This record gives sequence, C-alpha cells and structure tokens, in this order.
Amino acid sequence: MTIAYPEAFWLFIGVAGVVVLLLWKFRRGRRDLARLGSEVWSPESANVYLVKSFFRGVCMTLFFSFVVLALAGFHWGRRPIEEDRSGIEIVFAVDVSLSMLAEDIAPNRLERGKDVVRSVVQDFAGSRFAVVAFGGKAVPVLPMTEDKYAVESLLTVLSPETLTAPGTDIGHALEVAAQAFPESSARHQALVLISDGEYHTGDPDAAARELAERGIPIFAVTTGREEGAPIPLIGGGVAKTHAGEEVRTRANPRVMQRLAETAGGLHLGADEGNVFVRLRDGLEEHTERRDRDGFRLAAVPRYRLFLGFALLFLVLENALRIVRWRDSF
Amino acid sequence: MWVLEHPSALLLLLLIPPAVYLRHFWPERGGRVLFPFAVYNGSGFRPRQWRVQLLHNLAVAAFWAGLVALILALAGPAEVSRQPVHLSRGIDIMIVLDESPTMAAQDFQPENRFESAKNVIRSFVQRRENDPIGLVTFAKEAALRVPPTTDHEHLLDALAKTRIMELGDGTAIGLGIAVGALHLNAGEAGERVMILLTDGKNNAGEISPEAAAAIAADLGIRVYTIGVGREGEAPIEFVDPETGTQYRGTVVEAFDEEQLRRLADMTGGSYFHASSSAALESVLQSIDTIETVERRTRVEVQTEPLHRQVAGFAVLLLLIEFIIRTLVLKEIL
Repeated sequence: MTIAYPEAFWLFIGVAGVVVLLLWKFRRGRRDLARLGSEVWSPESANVYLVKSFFRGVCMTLFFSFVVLALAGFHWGRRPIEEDRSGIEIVFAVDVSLSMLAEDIAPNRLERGKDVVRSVVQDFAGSRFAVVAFGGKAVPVLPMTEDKYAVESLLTVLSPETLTAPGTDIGHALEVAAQAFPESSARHQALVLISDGEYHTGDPDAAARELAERGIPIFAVTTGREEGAPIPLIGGGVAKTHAGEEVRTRANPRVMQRLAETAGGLHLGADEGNVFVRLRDGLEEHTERRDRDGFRLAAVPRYRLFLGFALLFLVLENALRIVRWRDSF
Repeated sequence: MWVLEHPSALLLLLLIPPAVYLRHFWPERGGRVLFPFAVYNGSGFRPRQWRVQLLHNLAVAAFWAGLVALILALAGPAEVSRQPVHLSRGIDIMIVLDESPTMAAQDFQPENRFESAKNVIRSFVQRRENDPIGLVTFAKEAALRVPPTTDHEHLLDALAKTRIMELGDGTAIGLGIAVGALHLNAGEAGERVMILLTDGKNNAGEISPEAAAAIAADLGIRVYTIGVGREGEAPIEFVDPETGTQYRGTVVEAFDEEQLRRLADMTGGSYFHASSSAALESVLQSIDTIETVERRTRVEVQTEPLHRQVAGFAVLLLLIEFIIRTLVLKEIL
C-alpha cells in the first residue's frame, strides 16, 4: 500500500475543527430549544435531540474524514499497463554539491560516482543518456543523446564549480531528471541517482512518487559512508564552520534506499566492490522484464472506495435530518 | 479531452430530485420545530430578513452543487491526451555553424548572417521532430555545443546562447567537420548527415577541410555545405565577447565556393549558395526534403486523473454549507 499525497493528512486538523463546531452547536442548540418552552422542549424531545445530534455529528465527521482519506491517494494492488517499448534511455542525476568532494570513499565521492556513470555508458552502448547535475538546484547539462563521447567529455568537467547554487536539493534534481526523458519516445526509461543522500531543501519523496507513477525506476547509488568525512576545499584545507570547527559530511543511505524503494529501483553503495555489475544487472533486468511481459505493473488508486463511503455518510446524515423522530423534530 | 472512467456512478444523480423533494418540500420532513397554531388563521411565517434568506439559499445551493461534484468525482474524471510515439529512428543531423567575426556582416536581413542563420536553423529543427540534431560551432577552434539529441528544446536554448567570436578569430572548417563527424559517429544511426554553414575560407585548425571530409565520407556521413554571403562589400558590426570591445567596418572576404563544392561531392552531399535570408531558408527546406526517412509512429493515450481536484471542490462547497449553517445562521437542528 502506498500513499501518494500524505500531506493531505494535515486536513484532519480541519476535521477536528468540524468536531469542535458540532459540539458547540449541540450545546447552543439545547439551550435555545429549552428557551422555546414546554411546547417544544420535554425530557423526551431532549433525548431525541441528544441521540439525533450524536448520530448526525458522527456521520458528518466520518464524511469529512473519508474525503480526506480519498484525497490522500491510497493505492494498493497492482494492475498491468500495456507497454510496447524497446531499448533504454537513462538519465543520470549527479550530485555535484561540495560534500561530494569528501574522500571517505576513494578517490572521492564525485569521482567514484563518475566511474559508475562511465561503466553504465560502456555497458549499454547504443542506448541514450542524459545528465542532470544538481546542487542547490538542478540543471540539465546534457540532453538525451547516444553520443558517448559527449558524456565522457562532460564528466571530465563536472565539479562543484559547475553550479553556483549551494546546498543540495534532491527533489528538484528528480523533477528536472524526469523532464529530461523525451515525451514521444518508445524506449524503456530509468533514472540513476548518484548522491550522498544528504539534502537540505526540497521533497525528494514526492518527486520519487511522481516517477513511480510514470513507471520510471530510480537506481540510487549512495556515494560516501555514514561515519562521514571532512570536506576538502578546492583551494586546499577543509571546510570549517564560522566557529572554526571542521565540517563533517555524513552520507545518508536511508534516504537513497527509500527513494529507490518508492520508485521501484535498486539501492547500491558506490563503495561496494560489485556495484558496477549489480547496477548493470539491475538495469538489464528492468528492461528485460518489461520486454518479456509487454506491460508494467502500476499501483491501483483506491480513492473511489473512500469517496463512496464519504457519500454514504453524507446521505445518511441528511436522512437522519429529514426523518422526524417521535413527532419531535 | 475529458472522459469519465466510471460513468455508471452518474446514475447516482438520479437520486437527487427525490432527495431535493424530501429535504425541502416533503410535508413530513424533520429538522424543523413545529408550532401548534390553534388560533392563528393566517399563512405561515417566512423569514423576512433578506440577508438570512440569501445566506440560506446560498447554503442550499452549495450543498446540492457539492453533492453533484462529489458524484462527479466518484465517476473518475480524467483528462486524456494523445501523444505520438516515434517507433522508427530518425536521421542523426549535425549542424556545423561558423562563428567567426565575418558572420556579423549585415548583408542578411534583418540583422546579420549569424542571426539569420540561427533563425533558419531554428525553423529547420522544428520541422525535424524525430531526428536527433546536434550543434557544433567553429571559428579558430571548433567545439561541440549539443550532441545529437531529440530534446530540441535544449538544442534551441543552446543555439540561442551562441555568440560570434566565442571561439576566437578564424575559420577552421576542417576542425568543424572533424568534430561533427566524431560526434555523429558516436551514435547508432543508420543515416548521418552534416550541415555546414560558413562564410569564409579555411584559415585555421590543424585539419584541412579535405582531410576532414575524407573522414566523414569514410564514416558514411553526407555533408551539405552552405556558403553564406553576398559578393562585394558588406558593413559589419560585432562585440568581442571576451573584451567587450565593439568592432565596426566592412567585409569583402568571401567563401571558397570551389572548396565547399568539393567537400560536398566527396561525401555524397550537395553544395548550396545562400545570398540572403530567404535563400538560406529555401536551402534548408530543400535539404529537409532530400533527407527524408520513413516515419512510424504510434499514438499513446495518457490519462491525467482529475478526481482530486473535483473532490476537493466538492468538499469545499460542502464545508461552506456547513459553516454558513453552523456559524452564520446558527442553525440548531
């Protein structure tokens, strides 16, 4: 089961507000009815008022709750979506933020990441590749092309100096990478994300869900270790805070793992010995499975179930209002 | 185009008229306080305050509209778009564009040779939807700007950013062809074409145009050469991007027609002469018609679900109704 828009759950605060209003309405209503005098207000009608208000309130609350659940975008189960494609297009989203210069894996995170790109380009000759470089924002630096020399010459110049925006925004990187896939293409598509998983802004999970929706898996390659390492600067020395303390950057493989799982790909550590082989096998399996099956499996949205219940409770609430109880109201 | 994925849910709309009757007109309906008027002989009360009446009507309208919207959301509204998917592979095309200072000569309308070449290339690119197109520019040096790509938006962006004299002062036709051939060769296309646009004689670079054309011919790349410019003098004006100095003068230098013709012949392409913007446009149009390839496309249907928007709208209306009744009209029952 997946939830496409978990941010919708914030609307439950609004539902709580509705409950408060209903309680206030009940108290005020009881007081006002009592003022109308004995013609209207008797112990029996007070009882009817209590029971009716209670059930109508419950229905109203359930109505709003189910609408919120419908808006949250629950998916479960899978259905096949026909797909007739061949060949593959791979977008590399390469983190070029300063933390990628840390040397906790040899020679450093960025160079190791470039080696991963090179090995994929070598293994998938004849496929198309695009490169998105990202730091505080993401820029498509190479459009989708078969030209492996262009990839190679780009890799030699890719460094933190390529981009000026400081920070790391993996979410934006995934969005820009998704746009780098041509719309009218009949090839399989995959995204290779190369990063240490440390991010400061953006919502990578939402972007990953978007990719999952389009059937594009994320092969996330974590560069760096959790223990962390200092960041060497290009001019020499290491990055320090204003207080003069050494800055340590820690890789966050859990974020990368989560993104890969969300979009149905694979998570790999760049320092694992067999990372090149595993990545190749993963990409090959992805295309072969889709080729063989001729379809991809997509999660089935279940909003209608929740909307149906919401409608039911809305109607029930009105029925309770319309039906007169014991000749009271 | 709009579609409903589960139109049967619309049958629920049939229940609305009886529901309206029960809720607003049925004599036995609840939700009201009934007073016995044993002695009163006139007609019943009507709230006379028009504000109250207006708010009440507003709430009623919001409720029923919200209910309809909710049923509509249940029917699964979606927007369907048809996307053509190219099944066949296009021709790889490399555009090799001269960036030397003489391209600033103002004998081409409206601005100069360089700008009108860019305009003409832009419309050419837009006609070749399925072909990977790349861009190499050259002056004293040659450089790959964009590898052959079907991402034409990216290509046109890069084309718009090119400036005269970024690669120095000179005309290295041989280098331009060689760089273009190298990057064309990196792809898997069966058909490969290069379009060379220049207005000068080769006077720089380590590779002679003939040697480069021989490489291209070996790789099976057809080179179309286009000589740009008019006979005689032309005024020229450009800014050196490195120093920011503005240059002005006249240019008399012309391209080497014989050589361009030779290069085209060696590779199985053709030579064209363009002496005006319109001529250049028609040259690229004829290349467009020569280089055709069978196109197979399939239409892919993409559905963009809209139920969240519709459901959100519905709940907003129903919330408005709830708030008017509870907070503004202070309804009791």
